[in-house]
Formats: sequence, C-alpha cells, structure tokens
Amino acid sequence: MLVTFSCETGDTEKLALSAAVGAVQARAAIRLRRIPDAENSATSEAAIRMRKEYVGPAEADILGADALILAASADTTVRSAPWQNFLSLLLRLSSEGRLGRKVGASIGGLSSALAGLGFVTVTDFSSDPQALGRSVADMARSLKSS
Amino acid sequence: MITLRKSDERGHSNRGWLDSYFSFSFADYYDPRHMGFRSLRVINDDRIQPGQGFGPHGHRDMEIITYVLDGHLLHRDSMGERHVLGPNEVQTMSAGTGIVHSEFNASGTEEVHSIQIWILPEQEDVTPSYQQIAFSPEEKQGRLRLLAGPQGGATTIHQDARLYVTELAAKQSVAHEIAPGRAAWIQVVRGNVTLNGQELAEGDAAALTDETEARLTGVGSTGGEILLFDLR
Repeated sequence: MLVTFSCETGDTEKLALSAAVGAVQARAAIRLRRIPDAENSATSEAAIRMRKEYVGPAEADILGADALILAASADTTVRSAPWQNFLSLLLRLSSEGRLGRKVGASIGGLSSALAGLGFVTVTDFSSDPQALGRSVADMARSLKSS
Repeated sequence: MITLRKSDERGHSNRGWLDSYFSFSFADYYDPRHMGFRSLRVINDDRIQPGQGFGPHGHRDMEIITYVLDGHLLHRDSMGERHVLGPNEVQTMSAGTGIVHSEFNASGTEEVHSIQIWILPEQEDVTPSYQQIAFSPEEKQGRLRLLAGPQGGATTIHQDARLYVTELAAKQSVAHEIAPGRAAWIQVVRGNVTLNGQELAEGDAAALTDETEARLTGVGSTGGEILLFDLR
C-alpha cells in the first residue's frame, strides 16, 4: 500500500502513519511518501525533518501498489499546488489504463481526488485513519484474490 | 556440531548511504540455505552514512533488536517514541499487531555501525512495545551481559531466546553452557576470538547444535566483541 501525504507541521504525518499502521495490522506492506513542499517553502523543524525522512512519490510507487491512501489537511483541495504533479501523474496513469484495479481512499480534503480515476474507493466514516488503513488493505486483498 | 558462517560468505549490499552484510536472507539477498537459525531470522551488520537512514516503514509480528557499536541512531515510531540509541545500549521493539518506525543516523558527521536483529515471536498479535536500556561497559567486559530475553534483567522479547553481549580482551575467556536441546549462534561483531578453539574474525559467525558449551576467548592485540544467542 502506498500512503502519500502532504504536511508541513507533522499533524497530517501522524494521520498518515496511523493509516500505515492500520495497513500493517492488516498484513500489508507499506510505502510512505511525502509530497514535496512547494519550492521548499516550509521551514518548520518538522518540515525539515520530514524532508530528510521521506522521498516524494514516484510512478513506480503507484504502479507497484495495490492500494493508495492520500492524506492531506482538511483545507487541501485538488487545486493545492504541492499536489498538482502527483494528481497529474495519477490522471495520466489512469488515462493510459495503468492503474488497474486499485483501491483508493483519502484522509482530509482530497476526497474528490480519486473520483473518475478508476479506483475502488473506500470510505471510513469513523474518522479513524488506522481503521481506514485496515479497511483499504483488506479491500485490496479481497479484490486481488477475487 | 559447529557450523561456521564466514564474514565474506554473507550477503552484501552497498547502496552508498547504507553498507550492509546479511547473515541470513534479507531484502534482495536470498539464499535458501541461509533463512535463519531456529527463531533467529535476521542479523544485519549495517553501516549508515551521516544524516542518512531508514525512512518510515512497517513491521508486524517480529521482535526487532538493535545494537549500536559506533555512532548514534535516532529512532521514531508510530507509538510516539523518539529516542537516540548509542553504544552500550540496546533497543527492542515488539512489532506485534503492527508498527511503523524510522531509524536515522543522528549525526551529520559520524558513521553509525549497528547490528539489527530479528527474532520470530512465539505468539502473534502482541501489543506493540518499545524498550531501550543502557548498561555500563564493565557489564560486558569479560562476562556475558544479557541484552534481551523472555524475562527480566534486560529488554523483554516474546520468544524463548536470549541475547548476550560480551567484550573479551586478549586471552580473556568466557563460557556459556548450552542446555540439552538448545542451540547457540555466535556473531563476532568486533575483533577476533576463538570459539571452542576455532578462530573467528570480525563478521564471522557460528551455529552450535548438540554442543554443551560455547567457550569464547579474545585473541590478537585487541580481543573481540561477540553477540551470543541462546535459542530453543
């Protein structure tokens, strides 16, 4: 499972980590990727640390994953600058028919980002990212075995 | 019976930021003859460049022990733990139902030399936990210092296995009795020693089965440092 998030303060990172833990609980292998800051604008201690600890998502990360979770703050939209490259990449892969039957879910303000891209989307109404991670991993596994 | 696992026969990977030797199959190194020994699944001998490290990644149902020989590692995990681990300390994580963690070289100038160990747990789905203890160097000099085991006195693991460390000066010896039915794995992490009379150099290892004792003696000008696993 690929968990991709944007974060400057560490808050959304916690949600992404929690979703990743849920996926691990459901026995999924995970990759955590952070959307690069727009022109390295973030200068907080957390942002500097995360810049070192995470790499940005690559095409191979998406193609190699059975499931994808996007995590962003509540005020993030599909038009938010840091996400443009990644969402454009998803759009291109979708138009090329290379996303296959993948499961997708979002945390925060990107709920519409996966619409129309062919993902089997999972919604968890409990607002528990760990539960969402488990649900997405379980769904991906059952989809793969069906 | 003593089966040697020589240092240069181990798997090897050098990614630039990380230079690793694998006693058992790990990541891209796969050898079906070396998948582990009893409950011991992984011994990775890692050298991590300054400021570099393992980004956040997940584990489940594994006892993960880290022992630092030189330098300092910065640990962060999904349980909210944040610690720096250095020499004469041991870190044990029980991944249990699932954790995500990162390990980075805490220094921007010094390399980290560390040993990462995975032991298969006796039971699955335990609650994830993190432990770290420090000990004085004297506790391992000329004697066996317990680092991890199923009971107290060290970090606790969910397996009937015990990990000891000892540092032996030249001609200094220590002996460990191996109970009937149990086995031992010896990993030389620094210097040179003899094991029951056989010479082992840095990076060498030995599996002991149907043996009653592991007698280790430091040799050469500096002696050696050894990890000893007592396994069911």
